[in-house]
Amino acid sequence: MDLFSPKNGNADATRALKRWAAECRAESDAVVHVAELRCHEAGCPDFETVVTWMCSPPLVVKIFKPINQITREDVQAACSGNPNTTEPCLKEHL
Amino acid sequence: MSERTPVTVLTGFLGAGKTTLLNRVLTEQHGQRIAVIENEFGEVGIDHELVINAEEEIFEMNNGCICCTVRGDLIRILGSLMKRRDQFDRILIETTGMADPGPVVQTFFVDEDMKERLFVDAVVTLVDAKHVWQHLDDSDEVKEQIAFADVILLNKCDLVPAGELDKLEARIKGMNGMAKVHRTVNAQVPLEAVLEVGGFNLDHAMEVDPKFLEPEYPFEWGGIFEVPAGGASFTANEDPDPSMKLVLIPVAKADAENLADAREKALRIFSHEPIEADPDGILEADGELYELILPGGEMAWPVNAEAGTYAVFTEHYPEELNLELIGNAGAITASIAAAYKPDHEHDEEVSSVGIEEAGDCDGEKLNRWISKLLQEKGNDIFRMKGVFSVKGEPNRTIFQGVHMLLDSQDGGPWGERPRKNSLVFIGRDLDREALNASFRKCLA
Repeated sequence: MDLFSPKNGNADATRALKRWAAECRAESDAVVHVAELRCHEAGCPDFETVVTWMCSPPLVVKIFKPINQITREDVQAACSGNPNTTEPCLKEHL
Repeated sequence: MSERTPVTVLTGFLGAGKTTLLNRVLTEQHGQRIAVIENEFGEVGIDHELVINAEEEIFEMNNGCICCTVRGDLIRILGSLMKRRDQFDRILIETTGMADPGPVVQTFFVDEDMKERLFVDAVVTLVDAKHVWQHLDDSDEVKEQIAFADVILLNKCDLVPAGELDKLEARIKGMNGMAKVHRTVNAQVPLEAVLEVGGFNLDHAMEVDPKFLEPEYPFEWGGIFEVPAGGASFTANEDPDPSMKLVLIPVAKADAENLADAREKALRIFSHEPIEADPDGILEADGELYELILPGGEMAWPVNAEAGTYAVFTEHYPEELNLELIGNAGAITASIAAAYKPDHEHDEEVSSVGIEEAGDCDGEKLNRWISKLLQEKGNDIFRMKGVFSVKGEPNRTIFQGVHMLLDSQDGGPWGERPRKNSLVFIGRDLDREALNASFRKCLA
């Protein structure tokens, strides 16, 4: 996994992800924020996409895929409490 | 991408003049409509139709290895503000005097949708030149505001003597070698100096000031002298400091190569314990480090040296104490001399470190290095930027970062330019030698 590979081109995928996230919580008008975190540590997933509904308090789900590989089904699964997780990041459990 | 809205982040301790600058930005004719997000009510009221008050809300995204802290209040406000994008040309965020600029900047770094519509043009930090000394040593906020800045206004300069300003500017540059520093009264600075900066433009990552990458030395000056038969003496008649270190090293001849070799010897010698030398004390020309004691008046130190060629390195510029080498026939002029970037301007905690290494680095080693570095030191690295030459890649890799977040892009072909790696870090408790040594292990 290359930490320096440019993220250019993810904006469209991010907007699609935000639309799906908004659909999942249609009753809320909270702004949705999306962050793709990359990790190079052995044992950690290479990508973790954090989707946050900026309500009060913020609601967060994590999907362990790069943004441009996330599907509407992934978002729906994450919203229904069944996030498509792979291995969690090692240090979280140390 | 050209229609992205620029964002200026205005920081500074309470009373430094943020609101004065903000009022100027809002009232002067510059042809731009500016939306303001304010985190505190300044000392001067702002009457503007597009001023939004926000309450600082820190939101942390943590996956165990990577911690990214953003501002929830800004995300909400920017989300709604961008729905009326046609009403303004630029956004200005005024933070509280105690705000950490890190989460503000990171807010614009992580969301690719937001990055396509907004970009941080610059962090502008106002510094109260009169009162900042009270906070420079003990306020993390002041240090972070200086460390994050692209532009620093040393404001209220009319209240401070020029010599004090020089000291303050030197200290600030020791903390943040990348920022452009302006001295101002009432925050009077051409507005393009704060509104058209491009501080986070990745193309600028390639424009690392060569001076910033120069190595630093514990001496400011070095030169080579021909000492005649009969010996010589150093003389001085000014005492700007109580003492000054000096070393004499025999060399083969007076040329740049010998001066460079002697400089490296002097670098090691300057780490030794010096021998104190009162006036009239004899100096051996054999590589001993002396600390000349400067009581003032006419001072002289005889040099015990055979006729020959000697390199001399001095902690300060010789002219600061009117230091001269006097032989039988009068003053001896250095045949060749050089000034060096001194290493004593650094704040003990926040500093800037530049690294430059010719050749290629190994992409895999580079990834491992930066990953480990950001995990271990990411909280203490405020900003970084630079260019990598990765083996097998025909193009430059340019990057910048804020804490643990990296942003990079293809910097285009190297062309005729020599392939090299140039990096700059601004952070807390940075170990210059360790950073240099660990990066060298990434070289292919």
